[in-house]
Amino acid sequence: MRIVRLLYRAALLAAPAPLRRKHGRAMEEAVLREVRRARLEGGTAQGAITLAAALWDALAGGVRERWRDGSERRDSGRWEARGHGKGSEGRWNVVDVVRQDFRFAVRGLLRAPAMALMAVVTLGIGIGASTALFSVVNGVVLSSMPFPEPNRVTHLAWQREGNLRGYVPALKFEFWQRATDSFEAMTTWSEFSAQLRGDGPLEGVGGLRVSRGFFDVVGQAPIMGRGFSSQDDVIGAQDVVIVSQALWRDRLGGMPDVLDRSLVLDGRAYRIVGVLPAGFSFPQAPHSTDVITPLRLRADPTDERENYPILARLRDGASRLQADAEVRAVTATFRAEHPDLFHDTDLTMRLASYQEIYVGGLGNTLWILMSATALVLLIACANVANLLLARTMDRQDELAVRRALGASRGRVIAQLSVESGLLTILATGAGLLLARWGVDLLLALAPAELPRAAEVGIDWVVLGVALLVTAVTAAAFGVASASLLPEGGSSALSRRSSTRPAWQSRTRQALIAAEAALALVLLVGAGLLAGTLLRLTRVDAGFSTEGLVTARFPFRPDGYASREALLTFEHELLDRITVDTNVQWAAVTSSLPLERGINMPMTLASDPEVFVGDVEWRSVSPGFFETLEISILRGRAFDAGDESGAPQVVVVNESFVRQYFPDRDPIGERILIGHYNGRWIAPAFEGAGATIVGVAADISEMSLRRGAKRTMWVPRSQTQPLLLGMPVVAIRGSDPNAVTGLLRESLREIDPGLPVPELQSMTEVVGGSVAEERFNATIMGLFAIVALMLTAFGIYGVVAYGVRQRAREVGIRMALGAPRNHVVRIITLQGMAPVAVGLAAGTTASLYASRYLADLVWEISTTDPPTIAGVSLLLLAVAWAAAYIPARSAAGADPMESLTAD
Amino acid sequence: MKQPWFYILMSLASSDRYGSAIQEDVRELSGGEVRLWPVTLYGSLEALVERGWIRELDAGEQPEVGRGRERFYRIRQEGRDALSAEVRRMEDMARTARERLVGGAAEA
Repeated sequence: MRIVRLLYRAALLAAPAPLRRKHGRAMEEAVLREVRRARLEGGTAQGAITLAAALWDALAGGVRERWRDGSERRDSGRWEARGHGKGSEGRWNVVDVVRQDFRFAVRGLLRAPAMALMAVVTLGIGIGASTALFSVVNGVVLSSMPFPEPNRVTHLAWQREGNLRGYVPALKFEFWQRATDSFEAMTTWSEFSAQLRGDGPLEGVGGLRVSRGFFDVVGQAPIMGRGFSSQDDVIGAQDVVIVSQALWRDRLGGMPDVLDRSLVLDGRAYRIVGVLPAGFSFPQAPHSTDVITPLRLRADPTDERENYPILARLRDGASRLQADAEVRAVTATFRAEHPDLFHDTDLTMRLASYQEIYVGGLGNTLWILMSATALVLLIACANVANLLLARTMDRQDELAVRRALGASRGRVIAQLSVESGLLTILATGAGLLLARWGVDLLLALAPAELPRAAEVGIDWVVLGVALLVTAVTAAAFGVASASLLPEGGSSALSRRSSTRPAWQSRTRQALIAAEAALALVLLVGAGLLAGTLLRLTRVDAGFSTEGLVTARFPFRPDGYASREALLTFEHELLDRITVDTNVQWAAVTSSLPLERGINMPMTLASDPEVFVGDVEWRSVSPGFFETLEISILRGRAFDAGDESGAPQVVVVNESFVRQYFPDRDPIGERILIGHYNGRWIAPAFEGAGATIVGVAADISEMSLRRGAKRTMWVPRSQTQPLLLGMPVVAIRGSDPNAVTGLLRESLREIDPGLPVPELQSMTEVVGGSVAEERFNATIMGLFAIVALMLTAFGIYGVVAYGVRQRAREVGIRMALGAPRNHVVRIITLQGMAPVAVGLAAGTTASLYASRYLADLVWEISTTDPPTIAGVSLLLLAVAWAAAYIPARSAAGADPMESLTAD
Repeated sequence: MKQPWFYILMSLASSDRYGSAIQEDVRELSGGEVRLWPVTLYGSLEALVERGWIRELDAGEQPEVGRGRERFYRIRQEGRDALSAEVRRMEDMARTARERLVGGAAEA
């Protein structure tokens, strides 16, 4: 509500001061009351509409009152004396005056359609771009969690130096839940996707398993039925589920007696015990929440897998600071009592916000883009200021005539203001359209992991702010130029066509210089990000993408829960595919290169002191290295002999060898996978370890940017059931269409109940891995192009105007024999003078500003000289064209014509 | 007569009121059709005071309601006359319209 109050106060400045002083507080209260009521009755949208109406009342009504306050009373005698009076009460109807001004303004704008169009487009782009981007920033980064009293809800996370880790082992979660006192409730959850069996075909649903206290933390209870009780999360209890409003309505037909019915998920029957309220959302989950089941935590001290995030609700009245101190304190105690559970001594537990954990670096990016839009908005404002100045200068004669005929100064200013206002309104319409389109565009371009994208909508407050900024600019420059209006009376006429005031042309030059400087900053940013993207696409990833088709399954279907079933399916699929003549190689893997795999601990069998927690782990079928064309440098790849009964084998990569076997042959060495600091992380891993049989070349495992990481590959058939999920299929063939057809057919033959796989070429997978970089470069590039265009408009406008003013001078020069080229060159160079100044300022500014891009660029310096030189040249070329075109057309005119004109 | 003026005078015709009470009253009187936004409302009140149709009550005359900060307004005889004149004009218009409706032909 504070922003509403601020906006309204700003708008109220339009009203005359006495009215504001006397009634300002009452007006403000009334608006707040109205907006609050509208919001209660019709939600945020209704509130925004009400606010817009109130702002309009303040702006338009304020101008009207001002008018009535000053000019009307003072002028009324004059108007009436000249027979303009209206109405029986002897007053001039304010509405008629405004209407007349409006008509004048429309006519005025129609007389100069190019300038009107340019102003509307310029402002529209500024308003639209900033609104669209800020709407995204606001939705993703700024807005609080969609829970009641969101300020009381907080995450807990590990902090180590600059890094935050939001997940803990089950045992530790239970410890903090028990040991802390500042929280009303604490919960953890895990996400899953399952297959729902209903009347129709099988469908995938998104689910959450939640620990007790979940509904207390999010502050929402099921509208029907109940939350989970203490009996529900005991191991062995009956399976229960709470379904979302949408699932209940769409897939269960909204039946009122849904409670106690059963829902079959992944072939298991769950008893429905509740229905979530409509609009329930849990932004922490990557997918929509369709079903919620109890999480059965096992506080097993040997299970150190960090899988559980913590979300808690503060006790009423407890402060974040106190809670944070308490969490740190109990963690210290816990650590002192159980040193065996804390290997990392430099970790601290602390309160963390949603944004810190889920938005992270992306938030930084969005802020940078936000700053870029602010620059575009500034350029747009400078351009409009320029246009309005030029326009008023153009109309000096017309205004002088009006003054001479008796129009009061206030009357003329009011008319100019109405014109500026009209422009702003039109521009807002354009901006709103652009913003809507822009939000869609941004979301379409955004990397897939953009959190909370579904919640993004146009932000009305932002639109209001952008509108206010531009309106103030338009009004300020409209009125400022009007302050140079000629005095009333006949002297105004006699002085017409005299020289133009110097400050106006100086101001216009300064505005152009500022535009050029701002545009250069954006161009440098875009250049650096494009350079980054270019360098990334040229990286040798270490595998070949040519002719490679990949397929993944959206969920694990019924009947594929066991390891045997999965392996049989994989064998059968590969057998069917590889016999086809179109197919060169085919394999399955747990995850493709450039995709997240699993971090697995490892200990060297020859030296138990050498252990590490995060080796990249992937399980692959025989043929994997051949399919992706990853070179085997030493030893061998997997073959059909590496069966589940056969001795355990593993292939590692160069990075792994460099680190652990720098000076000896790794082939034949044994490593203990799943062993860490003298213990097995889970009983399932216990064993003799695996023998290294091959060394593969380094490939870009995690991202093109980060390059290789120490990696171990194990055969699918020797993988623990715990780690075996639905495989990703990779097929290299000559004809991708034939290959995908073959794959679909084979899957249908094996099991018609299998879900339709998601197909992607490996090129697309690689492209997807640089989605964020592409997004950054595209958006920044778009802004830079817009800025460049706006600047070119501005330069064109100034030069064209100057040429018109100097037509006589140009005519004289040419009549006296100055060569045409010479005249064109002089005018062009003069037009470019402010650009040169702007270029110098912009280069300095970009050296400073590009530092903020340091996290986003890769293998390129933020002060990369070729980039800065290149974009400077581009700016100069565009500026030259913008100045040259009007200069040439001026010099092309007949000198006699310009001499005799006027 | 301007629409806001008409509604404000109508509201004050039955009792003294302050700003937001007038706003609420007008909204009810018009069945939710007319909303007097603040600047329009208070601007009109000032205009009506200037015109001598209504007056602001002194501190001593104010009824004791609300938080005591409200400014109450009372209609003056001039205001009543203006309102009656407007009502008569509207009635005339309404009568004319009705007569024409009864007398004229229409297509089904």
